[in-house]
Amino acid sequence: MILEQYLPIIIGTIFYISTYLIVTLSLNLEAGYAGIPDFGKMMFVAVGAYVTLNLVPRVTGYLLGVDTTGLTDSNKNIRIMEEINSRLVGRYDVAAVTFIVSIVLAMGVGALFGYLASRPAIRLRGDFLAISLLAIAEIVRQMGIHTDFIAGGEMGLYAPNIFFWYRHDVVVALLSLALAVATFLLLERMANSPLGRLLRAIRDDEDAAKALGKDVTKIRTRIIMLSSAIAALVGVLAVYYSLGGTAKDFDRVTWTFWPWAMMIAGGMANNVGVLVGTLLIVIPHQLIFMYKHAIASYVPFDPAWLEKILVGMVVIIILYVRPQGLVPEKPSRTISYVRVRDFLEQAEKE
Amino acid sequence: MIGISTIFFLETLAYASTLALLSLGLSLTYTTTRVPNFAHATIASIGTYVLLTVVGLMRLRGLNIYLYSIPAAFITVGIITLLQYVLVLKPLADRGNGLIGLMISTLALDIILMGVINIYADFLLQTFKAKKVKLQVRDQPALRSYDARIELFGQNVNVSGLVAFATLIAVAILLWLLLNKTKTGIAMRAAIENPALAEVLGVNVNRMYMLAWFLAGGLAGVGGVFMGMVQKISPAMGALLIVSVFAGSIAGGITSVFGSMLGGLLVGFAENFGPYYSSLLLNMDMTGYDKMFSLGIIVVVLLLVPGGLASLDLSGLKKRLPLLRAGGVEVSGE
Repeated sequence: MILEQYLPIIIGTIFYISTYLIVTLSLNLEAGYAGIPDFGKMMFVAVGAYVTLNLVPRVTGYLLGVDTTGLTDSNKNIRIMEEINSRLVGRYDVAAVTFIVSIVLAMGVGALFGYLASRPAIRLRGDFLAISLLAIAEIVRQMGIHTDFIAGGEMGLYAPNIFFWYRHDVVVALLSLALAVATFLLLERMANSPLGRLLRAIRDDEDAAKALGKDVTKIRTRIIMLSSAIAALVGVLAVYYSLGGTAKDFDRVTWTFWPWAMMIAGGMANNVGVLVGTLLIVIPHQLIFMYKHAIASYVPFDPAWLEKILVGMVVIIILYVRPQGLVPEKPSRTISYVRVRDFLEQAEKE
Repeated sequence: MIGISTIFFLETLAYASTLALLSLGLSLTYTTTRVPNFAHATIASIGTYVLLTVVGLMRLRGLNIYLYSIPAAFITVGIITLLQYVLVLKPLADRGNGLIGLMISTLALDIILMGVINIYADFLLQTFKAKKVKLQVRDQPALRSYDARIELFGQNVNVSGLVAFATLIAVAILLWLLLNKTKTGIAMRAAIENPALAEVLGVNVNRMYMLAWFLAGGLAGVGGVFMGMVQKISPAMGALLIVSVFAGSIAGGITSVFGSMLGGLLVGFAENFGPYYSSLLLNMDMTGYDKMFSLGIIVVVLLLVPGGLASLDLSGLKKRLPLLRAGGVEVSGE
């Protein structure tokens, strides 16, 4: 009984922690390790969602023999999606292909957007890059809201329910958790690899890295592309979680500022810190969401505004009290002395 | 004007002058702390809410609106921006935060101010209801019907465009006089160009920066007043406006105060006339694409002349136009 009552909020918490962990980890790769101030993060999440709402159903429709012309017209969209969903039941092959296509397409388009959006200012001082990414992200959002052919405009679009064999929200939440763990392990490994040390070198002294023959612009571009591709995954997950979406869902506060706040709070250039920061902000958010009505009786306004103020203040206070974050950056792990010695001994024998 | 009505031109003039005021202030703060203030547009929308409050509670009409709301917005928003510098940026910079930390703090302040404006809007709604004022606090259409009207080229038009442009010119002249003819202004320019040397010569650099931030905020507040006269008023109006403000600053050269002013005017005209003419040219509706023109300006300027208009070599022209030179601050090619 109690479990059933709290299940939605538990599933929601798992989903939000996982998706925010993925976005913040990808942001940490850019901003924490490589020193790229990506203030346009929301654009890459949104792009992943646009792809899943607009392009992927066309593929699914083609496989199922459903006519998808007029998909982005909000009147026709409902009927097309009902048709797709009814034919999709039991077609595990189509569901699997749809899922793989959405992941591949979203990551590809995310990387492409990362490349294009970073182009104007990648060679300039960090603040120019921050400004241009923020501006482009706002425009991607506005285009999504004002034009129907991207993501259905104000009304938004529906997405196919490819997890028809169980509760889709549970499946997507668990899938997100698995992807978050995978992202964490991948990025943790990258951070401790020579690449991770190279990124820190570029962040700390660009000229020195250049003098050592590193192509700073190329490396930065690739990191932005990788990070944007990972962020686009979250757009896919968000769409499958709510079986649809609008461009309005992806705004500067929720998908740019929040990941930044989590990273700043937890500690930049430390993936464990990112995890701490994510928990630190998502859990209170879920609590405020749960007890919204209780809080609303104490304050004479919508608690959502109070939350904005609180998160903003947390960031400023942490920057003042503990600029390095709760879990500060650590030197990257290298191979232990014992293993190096064993390796050398073995090499001598041979 | 080819195919452009007087009303449309004046509305554009008001909007472009607003952007010029905002871009100018943004550059003024950027030159002091070297941090782009991402809260600048939201700060301007505080000015819009000052306008709404003044118009609603004092039941003003016509030129009286400007007489009361401009000083009120200048002082309120100026103080808020000063507090941003004194309470947030200065302490954070002193604690050794780098560029990224300072930038994110301005983004955090942006979010805080959005929350505060929303709460204030709720409060204002209650007050308006109690006092039976027929104004919305969210999605209030521009206060055009409250504006004074004059006869111009045979048409009855709002004065907002003319007042905004006159204010901009007055601000430009006063700022030029301040920066070039007064001791304070010269000290401020010295503090901006070489803080260490200025300090050695007895200039209180921190106080000069405080003055710069106060002025920048005040001008943003004045810009917010004109914004409310020609654009829809809502707490989220700053979110998109920031794109245009940065476009103006970057186009003019973000380290040049007067360059940014021209850049802001340019972007304002481009955002309104661009969609208009391209709609005629392409024979399709381009009205939703106004911000694409400012994005285009940002991209082109960053790719071709990262220093903006002010970095272009106009040495011949500069001698004849002291106004352009008065930005005075160096423009890095970076």
